[in-house]
Amino acid sequence: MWANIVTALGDAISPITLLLLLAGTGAGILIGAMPGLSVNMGIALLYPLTFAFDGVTGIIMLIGVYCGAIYGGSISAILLNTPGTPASAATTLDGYPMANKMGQPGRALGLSTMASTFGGVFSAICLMIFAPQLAKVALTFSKPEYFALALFGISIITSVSSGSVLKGVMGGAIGLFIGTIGIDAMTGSMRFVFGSTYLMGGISFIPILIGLFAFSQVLSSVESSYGEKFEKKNVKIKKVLPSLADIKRVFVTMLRSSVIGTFIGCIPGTGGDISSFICYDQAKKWAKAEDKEKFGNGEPKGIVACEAGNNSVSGGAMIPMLTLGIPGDGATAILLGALMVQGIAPGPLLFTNQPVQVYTIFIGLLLANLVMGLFGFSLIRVFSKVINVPKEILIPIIFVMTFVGTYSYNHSMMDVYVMVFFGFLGYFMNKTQFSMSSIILGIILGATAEQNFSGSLIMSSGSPIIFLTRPICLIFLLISLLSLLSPLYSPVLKRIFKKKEA
Amino acid sequence: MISMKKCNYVISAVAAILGATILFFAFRLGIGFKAKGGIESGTWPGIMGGLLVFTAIILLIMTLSNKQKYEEMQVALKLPGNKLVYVMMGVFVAYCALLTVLGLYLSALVLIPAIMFLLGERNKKKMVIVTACTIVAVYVIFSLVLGTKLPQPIWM
Repeated sequence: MWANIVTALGDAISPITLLLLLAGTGAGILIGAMPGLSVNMGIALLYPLTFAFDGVTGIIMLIGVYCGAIYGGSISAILLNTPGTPASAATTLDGYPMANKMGQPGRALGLSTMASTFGGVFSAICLMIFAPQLAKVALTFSKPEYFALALFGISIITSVSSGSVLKGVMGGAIGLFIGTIGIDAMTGSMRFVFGSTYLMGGISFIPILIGLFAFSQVLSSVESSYGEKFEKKNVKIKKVLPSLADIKRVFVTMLRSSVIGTFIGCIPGTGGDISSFICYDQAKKWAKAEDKEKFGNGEPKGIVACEAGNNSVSGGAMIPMLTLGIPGDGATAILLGALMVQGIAPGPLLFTNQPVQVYTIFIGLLLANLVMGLFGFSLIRVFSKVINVPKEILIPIIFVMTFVGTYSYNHSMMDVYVMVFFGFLGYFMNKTQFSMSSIILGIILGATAEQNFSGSLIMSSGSPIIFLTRPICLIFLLISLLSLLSPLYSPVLKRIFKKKEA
Repeated sequence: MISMKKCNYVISAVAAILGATILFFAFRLGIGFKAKGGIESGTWPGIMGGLLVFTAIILLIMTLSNKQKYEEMQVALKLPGNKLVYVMMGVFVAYCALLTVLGLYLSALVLIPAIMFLLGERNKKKMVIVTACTIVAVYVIFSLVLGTKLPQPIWM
């Protein structure tokens, strides 16, 4: 094990990897800080850059983008009262009042940077401790368990579909169908190819990803920018490093939020937005009576609770992704796809077959969070300037990046047409309450589910009873069922709990 | 503004047609279990087709039984902002054709100022600077550093 860790450390701190990590984290912070650009969009946009690098080098850059973008969202949340990403929505509650009413933007940004770094590092350490243990348990899994796991991963569609669960399921079915186009890996027959050479290899995941997460989102930005007048915001930031008194005051809150955030991250279908609101709520509940009134008026604990909560999701979400192959949120779903493209198959066998890659990812996540903190404390004045970049400059640049990124994957114009098609489709789907993440989940997990479903039936000579006779498989199937049916029973449960509280 | 009710009718129809089409082709591939275990090629996509038809029907029933609710939910599709997006979509369709003929760098020379113009930018100097900087950045990052081959003009 130690030999693997030493090799991984060498890989993680090689000049190219470090350079990419720095670039990815910096780009992530910039993307996160710009309202309208999401974490998912950032990863989707910079994803094509990773094709030029083998193995996990490019993945580490994406991890940098992931961590940086979650943190970057707090910059605009604090300075503009507009969260750069949904995960930073709760940060506006105390961050903006501290920056504006109290006139302490530097203090607010410093607290946010400290809490984000602490939360991120804490979750990375948890990932290092818990992921190998979970993988050991998962090593006993066979095809029926893998099928149940994939189904469980697909079932989180109900959680990621915030608008309409039914449309989320529709999107998931579309994604699962797209995953079947091309040569059937089990039988070798062509499916839905219609004589097209392009379709024989299946529709590539990357153009769809860029179309749904980047192109369609920029189209939405075009719509929202109509008639919008650009106002330059001048913010003077002084003293970013938190004082010892502030650190003492918020430390327990920061630690508690990091624990909660990491735990929430482990639950597939959740994300930074849910975590930050829960952590904020908990910080308020645990606060002394005299401090409770300060929440919403620039309370330091309010800022650190949200930021430690949303950044600690990163490590937590990677635990099910790396050990079981189930993404914790939309961003890890994209990372999962990125790993697969690089020939790294997440799941319990990853820890046995590619241990160096696993440890490199662990170290990469830890370094990304440290770099994020370093950037935050030293370059916050530079990063805060991006909130002043007008959309008429930003939008064309992102559009060009989507075309360049898509083409560079396969050097195929068909991929570009597919990206544009899904970009247009994504724009209308966004408007009608469809979830983009559910389509991506369907595409990524579809093949695993189908192949293991078929494989399980071969194991049992065609008897579907195999899924019910294996305890772990049965448990995952039941959880999947509960997850899929949650939109039906959760309103009833909510009503019951509300009555009890009353 | 268009009501969600109308949108849901359209979505139900499209999903049902798509699902039925998938089911049709899945049947041709073969649906069911094989004698020695495993599934036929069309089984998995067939399940997805069936799921699409099923969800389409549920969505239709839900919309019909909650007409008032979905009538009140408005979807912005006809506002000036949307129209700008539709114009932009037209620009991208044209750009796809242009990209094949002129290659990436030359076509970007047209695309970037066009988008900026549509977004209300009238400062020509700013347009030139943004276009030049973007193209140089793409060339340096993708062509020089990463060695990626980007679309070339048809005469090259």
